[in-house]
Amino acid sequence: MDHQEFLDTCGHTLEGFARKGFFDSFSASQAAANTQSFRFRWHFNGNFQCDARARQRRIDLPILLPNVAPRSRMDRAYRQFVTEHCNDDLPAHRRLPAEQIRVVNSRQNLGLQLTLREGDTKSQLEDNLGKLIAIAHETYKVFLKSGEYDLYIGEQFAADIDNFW
Amino acid sequence: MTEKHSTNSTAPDRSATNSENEGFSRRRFIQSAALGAGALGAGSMAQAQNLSDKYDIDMPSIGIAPDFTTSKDMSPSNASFSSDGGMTGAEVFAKACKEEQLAALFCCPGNYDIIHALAAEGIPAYGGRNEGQMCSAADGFSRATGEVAACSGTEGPGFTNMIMGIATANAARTPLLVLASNMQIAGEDREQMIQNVYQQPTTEGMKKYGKRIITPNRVHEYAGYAFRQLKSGVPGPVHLDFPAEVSRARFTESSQLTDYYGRERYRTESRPSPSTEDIKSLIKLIGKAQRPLIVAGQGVFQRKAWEPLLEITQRNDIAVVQSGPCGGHFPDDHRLSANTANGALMSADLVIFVGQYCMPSPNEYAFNPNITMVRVHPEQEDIGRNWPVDLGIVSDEKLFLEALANRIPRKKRKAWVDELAAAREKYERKNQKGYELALKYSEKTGFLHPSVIAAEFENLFSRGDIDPRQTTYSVGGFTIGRAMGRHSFSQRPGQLIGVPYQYGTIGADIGMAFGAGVAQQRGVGPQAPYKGAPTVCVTSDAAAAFGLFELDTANQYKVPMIVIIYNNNAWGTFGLAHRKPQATHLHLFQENLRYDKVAEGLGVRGEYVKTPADFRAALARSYKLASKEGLSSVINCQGIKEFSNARDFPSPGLAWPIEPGRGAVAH
Repeated sequence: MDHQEFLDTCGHTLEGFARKGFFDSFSASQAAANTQSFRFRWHFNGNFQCDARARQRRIDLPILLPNVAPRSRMDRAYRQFVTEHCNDDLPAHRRLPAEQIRVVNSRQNLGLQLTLREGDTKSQLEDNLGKLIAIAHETYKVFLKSGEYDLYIGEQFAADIDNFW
Repeated sequence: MTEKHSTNSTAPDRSATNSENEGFSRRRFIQSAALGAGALGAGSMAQAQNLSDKYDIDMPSIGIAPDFTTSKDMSPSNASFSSDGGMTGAEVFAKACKEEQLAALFCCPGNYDIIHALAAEGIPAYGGRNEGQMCSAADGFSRATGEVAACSGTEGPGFTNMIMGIATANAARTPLLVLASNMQIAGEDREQMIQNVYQQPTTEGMKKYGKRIITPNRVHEYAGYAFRQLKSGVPGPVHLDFPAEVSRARFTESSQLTDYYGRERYRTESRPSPSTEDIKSLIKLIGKAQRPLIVAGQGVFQRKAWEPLLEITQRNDIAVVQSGPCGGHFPDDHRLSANTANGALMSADLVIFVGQYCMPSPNEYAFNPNITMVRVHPEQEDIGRNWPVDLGIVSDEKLFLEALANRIPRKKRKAWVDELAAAREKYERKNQKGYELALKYSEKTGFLHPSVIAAEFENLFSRGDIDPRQTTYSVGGFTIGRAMGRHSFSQRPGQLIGVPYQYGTIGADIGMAFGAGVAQQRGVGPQAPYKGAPTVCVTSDAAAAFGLFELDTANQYKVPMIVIIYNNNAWGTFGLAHRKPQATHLHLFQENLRYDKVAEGLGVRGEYVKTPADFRAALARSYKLASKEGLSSVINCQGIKEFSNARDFPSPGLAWPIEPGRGAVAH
């Protein structure tokens, strides 16, 4: 898979989620050479960004959960949440590739990184990118619904508690 | 009858009172009331006696007026054009309602012509204490049965009292007939006398259809309009208001009325069926899918389509998750139920929405963004709204499920079934963890944690000696609603009523549970096998305040209810005031209020509990008395507001519900 095919595959896959109604206001732009930046509205009607870096064979969701202090209880809980999704007990269609996915806290923003292995095919990229988006979706639909992050949600997403149901 | 109260410690001179009230002394009153047809249970009699002994005063016990029973036992009338004076507009309308098998009327006085005509026609009618709660009772009755129910209130304030209930029913797509009178057309715009209001604009946006009937001879025609809307397509509230010129108009022959013909001519039972091509396309998608799942929405319940649903899923190992304002149209304990299999929802690769009236957007459900999406809906114009479809099928829910059941091939999906089972087990483990933690919190603080209430509720009604399909119950409230959300089992149609569904209503709880209780007492529709069993309402102190007086109504109509009130001295929202100046007090009540005592004042048993052991015992006792003696109880469960605060008391038992599935109330 060359750089262009990597970027095109990422673009088509993400655009597919927009067509299915999961993303709104989807757009793509060239962020740098061999890097494409995709923007869309998603949870809590917020803006999300996904960067495809062909040279590094990496896809970033840099700001999945904003304003989370490194090594805080929430930071640790989220890492645990992602780790549980890499568990061998999970069926293959749900299991995240442990060696390829990483939780990153950069400038107090929790994000996810997916790195392809050397020789990964287009279909493996589609599959793993799908899993990356799925775990990001679960972050909002499951992780944040534990009851422990109500104040965080209220403050970060201007969401009223009545909207948590 | 004189009631004499004394707070003076000196014994009052009772001679005059006793002499004046000879024949109505306390003990004689109790005795005569106990012998009368309207006597309440022994519990409330004993309470009255205890109080009167304690204060040494003449205090007549709470009882049901003899006229109440006499009135209820009267035979229905038979209004006809040939009777003296013919029929009134109200009677014409009532006859149409009878013909349409209107299942119940819940009302407060007002709109007299109509409610009296409906009651006289023999439509089961219930009079309550607040129009809003009666509106919710009609909603609850309908959610428990799928049948059309009516509510009514007086012209102005009674009608506006119903607004929250109407909006709640609208969000739930309940086939609710809202009736209210509107004084006289002759007085319109003149503020003549009282209670003038423009009703129809007030219900704009919260009804399926509405009409102020101003032409007397069209009253039957508009009854046809109403039932056509109530019984066709996606249901919803229908609001009719009747000026006196209409309800009191007299008709001596049918030719004086427009469109005076039977229901088989003003509406049809014919419904849209899926095309053969649609079914073929869907079967192809199901064949390709590895982990198909049906979201069985309210339409499956409304159309009583649970049997073909069960057949389809079993033939092809398709998982099912329920949605909608009532639960039980697919049993939680079925091997293919995904209702508590939250962890497996994201695995579904084909999702078929059937009868999902309140349609979520994709981001609101915990489904994989890669899913193939099919929607089956009776109205073409709704398909594609909110959630793009890969296949849309216009069909009545029952006809669709029957057609699919006839064509779908048999298939085993062991891996999918195992994944569902594992996810359900994980859910149960989390519940158990939440329960154990809640027990510790209760022990540490000396107050009941809501997750204890929820778990003990499930233990008694679903895991013990009581048939888990028996008990019809409602769940509402904020903090207790979340706790119950994880334990609100449902094993048969019409068993569970989610009070806040979609509209987020707090306060309709007791009214709604009363309506469901009426359905269960009468054994209407899916309640028939459990006729006579008590109904349970699990609610909060905030919500209970709106409806406690309907326990008076429940007692009068002999509907045994167990009302479990989680009393945490606050609105569940109080945590949001954290760090905001002068805000917390807006969320607080007086502490340690005694809702059990309020109940006793209404002739209902009161229980006060603050430990898990006390709660278990009180619940078992209340159930026994409700089922054996028909007595209602309020269990005041004293908690503390701090339990709602995850900083101090983190609890998996208070996680927000994941949609779709158990506890979900948004869609």
